Amino acid sequence: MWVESVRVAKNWMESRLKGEDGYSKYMDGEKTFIDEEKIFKTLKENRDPKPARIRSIIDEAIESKECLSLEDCAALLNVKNEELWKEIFQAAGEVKKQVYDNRIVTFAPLYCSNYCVNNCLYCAFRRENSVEIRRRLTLDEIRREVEVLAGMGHKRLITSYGEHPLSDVNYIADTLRAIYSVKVKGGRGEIRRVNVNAAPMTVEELEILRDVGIGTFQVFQETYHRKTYSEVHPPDTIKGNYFWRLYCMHRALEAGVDDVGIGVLLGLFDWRFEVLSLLSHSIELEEKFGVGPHTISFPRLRPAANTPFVQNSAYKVSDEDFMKFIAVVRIAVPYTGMILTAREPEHIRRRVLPLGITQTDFGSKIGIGSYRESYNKQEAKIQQFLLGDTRELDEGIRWLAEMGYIVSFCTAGYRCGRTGVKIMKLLKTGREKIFCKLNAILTFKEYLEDFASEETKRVGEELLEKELKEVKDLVSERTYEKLIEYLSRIEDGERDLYF
Amino acid sequence: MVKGISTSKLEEIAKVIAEEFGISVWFAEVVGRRWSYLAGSVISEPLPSVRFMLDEKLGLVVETDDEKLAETVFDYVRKLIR
Repeated sequence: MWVESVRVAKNWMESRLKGEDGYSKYMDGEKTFIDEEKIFKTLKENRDPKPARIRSIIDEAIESKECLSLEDCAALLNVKNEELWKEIFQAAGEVKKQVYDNRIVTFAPLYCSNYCVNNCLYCAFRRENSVEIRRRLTLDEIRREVEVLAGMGHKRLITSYGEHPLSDVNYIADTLRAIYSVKVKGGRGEIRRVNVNAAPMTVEELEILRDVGIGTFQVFQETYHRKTYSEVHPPDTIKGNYFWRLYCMHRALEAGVDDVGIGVLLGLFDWRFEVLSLLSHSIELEEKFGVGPHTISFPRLRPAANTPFVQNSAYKVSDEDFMKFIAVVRIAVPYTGMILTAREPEHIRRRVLPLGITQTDFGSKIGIGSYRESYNKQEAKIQQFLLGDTRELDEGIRWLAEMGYIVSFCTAGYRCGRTGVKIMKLLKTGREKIFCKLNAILTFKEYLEDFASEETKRVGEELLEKELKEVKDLVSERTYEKLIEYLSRIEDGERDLYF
Repeated sequence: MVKGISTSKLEEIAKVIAEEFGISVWFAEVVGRRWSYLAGSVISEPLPSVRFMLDEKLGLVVETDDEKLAETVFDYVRKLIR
């Protein structure tokens, strides 16, 4: 049985590697949009930037909300003066406020399968990790997990899968259908947007996910540095193909999935190089498709079962550098969403949230089947890594509200055509933040009505009052009246009202 | 382009609606839950929007809180598209 399943997986892997390459057509001959030589040269040529130049870069970024040039971004990365870094941190927070205001979108991860044909050195799901207990959730098990998540009040999920024939595109599509079908608490508990973190796919496969209602398609390059990439992703695996992964968002956008999420795994290579690469990737997508990345993620390496690479990495990113990374990405790609996950412990989350984070998760369990079956503990042998923050959703929401952030469960954009070039324009003109605020208020109100503890409800209502005062100055009288009407309808039991 | 209607034609229709009714509309390709922007107004006012299906793939979003007006615009757009 075991030998047969290994043979099936091997054949599947080989068939995928032999297929049409899926990237040459997007390339300029042999060249990719990651020009390593240029990136290193730009970093070198922009050493020791003068404070006046840094301040001018910051001012322009806040004003234009366009991507920085590689040169200006390299200048920010090369700042040595800690006082100047404080100004950069402040500017990053200002950029976020102007584009997204004070809302933080919340979601939960749902790991569906940890079978994997790849063998990435840093990952507990790698095929040669014999201590990992393998499991793929059935659709019934998926539904039971979602009952727990929707019962907590979550409206948005990110699903995750190893790369394996058991979790191919048809399985992923089935899981999305299963997730959307779940209703709890008389329909008040439901998932309205499912983002997918999975392996790169063909255009045809991505069209299947588009058709079943994928939110964001998320694939991280892990590292854009080719030599490092080939060292940590063995060449006899699908993931060993750098270009197949590098161009997966081109395929997604071609397939009509117009929300794409990119990212790096911090700790594999020099973080400054990765910032310029993420910026290059964003510029490439905007130039080719008119749409930049919907989100950028930047997980740091975390301890994982039987994975010594994590402890031995030479490029671990310190807390101080993590803050600098986040602030520069925020300023360099002002319109993008930035995701900070529960990999990071509470004290780090508190420090980096003001630097421009737009999304974070609470109540997260990342073991396969953990929401239903092992709610109160982490189990390394069924997890990809260990979480740093395991606080419940309700506690997380209260924590954010006490710091002045309003949690948003908004899923309006992709259901009313605010996507593609439209959302880009709204973000760059600072108008999207008004939609964000209005929809944050409505979905936050829903949460307080349906799921909040008494303490969170008290803190939340105080925050709502403050938000309503603010929004009154931002929108027309007609819009404000509509907002008040919607809030009243929510109190009367209506749900899923949005702008 | 959806069902033989070019995006430039949809852009034209959106302009006509803006002139005739003083409101913004945009068109989206509808695939399942996803409404992907195709053409029309890019700068929206923060108003509720009303969605209509023009065919099985082409959606119309009318930015107004007046549902009767939205219906009128929907009928108007349908005639322009025919």
